[in-house]
Amino acid sequence: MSLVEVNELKAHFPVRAGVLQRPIGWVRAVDGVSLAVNEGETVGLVGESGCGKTTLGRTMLRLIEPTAGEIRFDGQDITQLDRAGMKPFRRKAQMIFQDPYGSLNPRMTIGNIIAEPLRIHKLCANKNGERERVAELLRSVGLSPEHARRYPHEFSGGQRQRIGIARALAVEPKFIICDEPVSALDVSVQAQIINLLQELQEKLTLTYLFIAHDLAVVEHISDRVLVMYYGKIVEEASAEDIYRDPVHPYTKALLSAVPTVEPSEKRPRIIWPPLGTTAEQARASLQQKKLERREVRSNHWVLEEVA
Amino acid sequence: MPLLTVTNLTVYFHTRNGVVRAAEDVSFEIEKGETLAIVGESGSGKSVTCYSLMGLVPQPPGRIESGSAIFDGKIDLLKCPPQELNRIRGKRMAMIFQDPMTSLNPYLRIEDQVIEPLMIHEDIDRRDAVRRGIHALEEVGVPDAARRIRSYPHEFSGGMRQRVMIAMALITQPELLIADEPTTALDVTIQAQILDLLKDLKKKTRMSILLITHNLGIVGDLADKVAVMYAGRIVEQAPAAVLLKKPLHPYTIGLMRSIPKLGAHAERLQSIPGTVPDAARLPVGCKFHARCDRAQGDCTLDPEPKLVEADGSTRRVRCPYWDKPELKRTIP
Repeated sequence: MSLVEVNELKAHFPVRAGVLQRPIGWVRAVDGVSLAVNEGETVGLVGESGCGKTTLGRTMLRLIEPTAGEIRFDGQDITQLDRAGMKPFRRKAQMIFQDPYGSLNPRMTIGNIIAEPLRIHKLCANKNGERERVAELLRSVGLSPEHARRYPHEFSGGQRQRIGIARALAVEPKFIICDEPVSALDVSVQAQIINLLQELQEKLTLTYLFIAHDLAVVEHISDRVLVMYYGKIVEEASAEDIYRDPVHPYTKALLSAVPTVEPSEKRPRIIWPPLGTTAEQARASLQQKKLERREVRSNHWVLEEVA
Repeated sequence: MPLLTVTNLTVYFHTRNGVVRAAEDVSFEIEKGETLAIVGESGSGKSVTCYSLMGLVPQPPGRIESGSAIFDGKIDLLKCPPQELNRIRGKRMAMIFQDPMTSLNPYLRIEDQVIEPLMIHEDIDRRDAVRRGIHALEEVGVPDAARRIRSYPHEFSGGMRQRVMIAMALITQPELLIADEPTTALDVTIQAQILDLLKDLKKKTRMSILLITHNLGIVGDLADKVAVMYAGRIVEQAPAAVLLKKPLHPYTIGLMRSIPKLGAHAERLQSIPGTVPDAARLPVGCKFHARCDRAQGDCTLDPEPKLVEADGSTRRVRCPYWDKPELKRTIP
C-alpha cells in the first residue's frame, strides 16, 4: 500500500480586482493531480518555475488548503481533519525548504530551532533528554553537538541546510517533502547534501517527495519521476525510463535543454511550446481540452488528449 | 594581439573584519571572437575579477592592489581615468548581469533603456536610435518589437527581460561582452534559448565573450577556454574541451565528480568535503589543502603552489602534484 496517496487534488487561487475585490478569474496552480508515493521510495517532482510543484507539495501537507480532492496518509483521509486531528499527521510528515537563509529563525540558537518540534510534540521527558536528543540529531546530519549554542548566521549555506534537515528529523517522520533542498547551494556542497539525504533515507527508512527544477539531480536521487506543467502531471515513469525514453513533448523539451559537459551526449534541441504557439496557448490547451492519463508502457504514464 | 590581456590582477577589500583577498594574481587573455569562461563557486573571486575590469568595484572598501588589464593593446582599464573608461564602457565593452528582474529600471520604458547607450555614445537623433533599438530587440528574438519597445519591464517575463538586457548591451556592437551568470536565474528551457542566442551572436559578430558561470554544462556549450577559480585564484586554465575531458587540478576533478549526470545512475555522488574558505581568513599554503584528497605535508606551507604549465604548454595548473593522481592524502 502507498504511504501517501493524492486523488484529483486541486489548489485554485482567486484573482481579485476592483473595489469589491471580486474574483475575476482563477489561478489553477494545482489542477487535478493524482499520485502515490510508496514507503521507502523517492519520488521526484520536476517542472519549471510557476508550474505548481511547490504548491502541490505544500497542499499535500495541508500547509495550503486544497480546493478539491483527497489526500490519504497511511490509508487515512486527512483532507477533512481539524487542527487537533492533524497533529499526529504533522509528526509523521515534515518538510525541508529551499532557502537555508530564510527558513531558520535568526534569533534562535540552533539547539532551540531543533528542539522546538520536540517540545511541541512533547517528545522528551526532561531538559537532559532534550539536550541529548538534539546532540544526537546534530551528529546524524554531520554537525557537532557544540553547534547547538550558536546562531544561524554563523553557518554556511550547506551547514544551514543540515540544520533544516535535523529539525525535520526531530519528530521521527516517515515522509519528508524536500522542496528544492540543494538549489541554493554551491555545486561542491550540493553533492554532500544529496548524499546525506540518501544515507538518512537508508538508515531511517524515510520516504521522500523530492521537488526540484534540476533534472540531473532529480534523476540521480529518485526512483520515480513526475513531470509537472501548468498544474498537471504530464508524465510519470521510473527515473531511468523518463531519461531514456521521454514521451510527452514537454518532457522531451526539458531534457534537451539541459547543457551537458560532454558535447557527444547532446540531445537534439526540442522547442517547447511548439513553434507557432505561445506558452499561453499551450496552457489553454492543457486546461480546456479533455485529457486522460494513458499507460504507454508498464508504469510509464502520459497525459494525453482524448480524441 | 589579444583583445584583452589581464596580468596579475589583485583586488582586496579592506573591511572592519580584516582584509578580504577577493582576487589574487589573476592573469588571462581573450582573443577577438573568443569566449573565455571563468568558473567558480560563490566567493571564488570570479565576479570581482569582472567587476574590476568594468570599474565597478566600490573603492573604498575595495582596492585594486596591482595588475593591469590592457584592452585592445592600448588602454589599461585599471588605470585609465573615469572619462576615458566611460568612452569604452557601454560602447566597446558591455556587461549583462545575473538578475534580469532587478537590472532594469522599473520606471522607464524599455525604449529609453535600450537606446540609452546609443544616446550617450553616438551622435544620433532619437528617432534613428529607436529604430536601431527595435532592430536590436528583433535580433535577440523579442516578438513584436516595434510595439513591445513601448512597454515597461514588468510586462516582460524573466527570459524576455534577459533578452532586453542583451539587446541593450549589444546595441553599440561592443567588441567584448561580459556576461555574469546570464542564465542562472532562468528556467532550463529559457536558459537553452539564451545560450543558443549567444552562440548565434558569437558566430555573426565575432564578438569576444567573458562568461562567468558556476555551471560546467554551460562551459561545454559555449566556451572556447576556461579558467577555474578557487578562493580568489585561478587554479586551472585550459581549452574548454580539454579541461572538461580531463581535468587536472584536484579541485576541478572534485567539482566535476560532484555533479550528477543525466543517465549515469551512480549510487552516490563523490562530494568534496568541507566548505569554501572565508576570503578574510585564507589558510596558509595551498588554499584547497583542507579539502584536497591529494594533499601532502608541503601543501600546508607558504609559498603556495604556482600556476605551472602542464601537458606541454596547452594548459596551466596550480598544483605540484597534478601529474600524480595516485597520491593519497597524508595530512590529517
